[in-house]
Amino acid sequence: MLDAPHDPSLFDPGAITPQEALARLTPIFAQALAALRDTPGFAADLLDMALRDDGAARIWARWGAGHFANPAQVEAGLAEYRSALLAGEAAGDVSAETIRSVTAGLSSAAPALRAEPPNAQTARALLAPGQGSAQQHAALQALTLLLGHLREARQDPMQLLREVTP
Amino acid sequence: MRPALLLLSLAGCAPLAMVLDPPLGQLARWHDTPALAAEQPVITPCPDANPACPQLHARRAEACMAMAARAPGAACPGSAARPMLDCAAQAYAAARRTNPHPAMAAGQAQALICAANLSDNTHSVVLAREALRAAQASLSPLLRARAQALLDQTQGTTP
Repeated sequence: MLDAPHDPSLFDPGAITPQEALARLTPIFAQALAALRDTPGFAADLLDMALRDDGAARIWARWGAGHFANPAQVEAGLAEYRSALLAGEAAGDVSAETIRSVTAGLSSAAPALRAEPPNAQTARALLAPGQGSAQQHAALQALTLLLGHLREARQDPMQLLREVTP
Repeated sequence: MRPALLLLSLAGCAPLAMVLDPPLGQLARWHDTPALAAEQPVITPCPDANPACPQLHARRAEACMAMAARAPGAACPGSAARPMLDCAAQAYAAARRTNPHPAMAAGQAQALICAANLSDNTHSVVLAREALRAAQASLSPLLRARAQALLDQTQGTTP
């Protein structure tokens, strides 16, 4: 027991900090929760609830009375806020350099995988709340989630594309 | 005498090992039931010279850090996890007295950064400074940047 060296665990640092969560506060939450903004732990608590599946119910149970008109307002605020958090993540993932390297890699791929060089500004604008059609939004959100998953799994998308390319 | 104590603890004589060498007895119990590490403080006194003590501090730190449950994708837990973050930060500090592994420093930096995010500005500055020192030893540019950003923010808002 003593001779077996302790192998320290490295904890995942996570993607979104409370500071980033506060910086990306969207209009409904910013207005409804303005009085709580400077409370110690507010950003960490909001982020913790917003990223959970039952986030709306948690936020309503914690801050509902006195801050929100009804649960539907919490739902709307949370949808808006999650989009902003996702857009922030996408802005970090979809850098100009990433787009250039992916485009360069795809230029030698099968014709079906080649595309017009994507525009980073367009991608970010589509991820922003209220922009683009619902279908475009869903497609980009799915792509963003996929990129996030690949990053967490430390898988190289280019390697995967090469495997499916004839 | 230590090999004899080790034999006793491995042979199921943890109570006897506990009497003769309490830290080793606690390590034997945590070895059998890892969940205890988050529930029990490290026995005192637990001198760094006792080989069981650095392991106890490290196991306690990691158990508390794991109990500070975070939402998927979040860098920090909510305020309900504050006691676990304090526990982790203190245990990591104790573990680092004898264990220079960068992962220990990274864990301490993470616990302190998250605790600072749950504190008022005055305490947040103190915790952020401590987090930055740990982050520098962690060899993690991400944790260094987070600790520095937190320190810049808290120093900017503290009168």
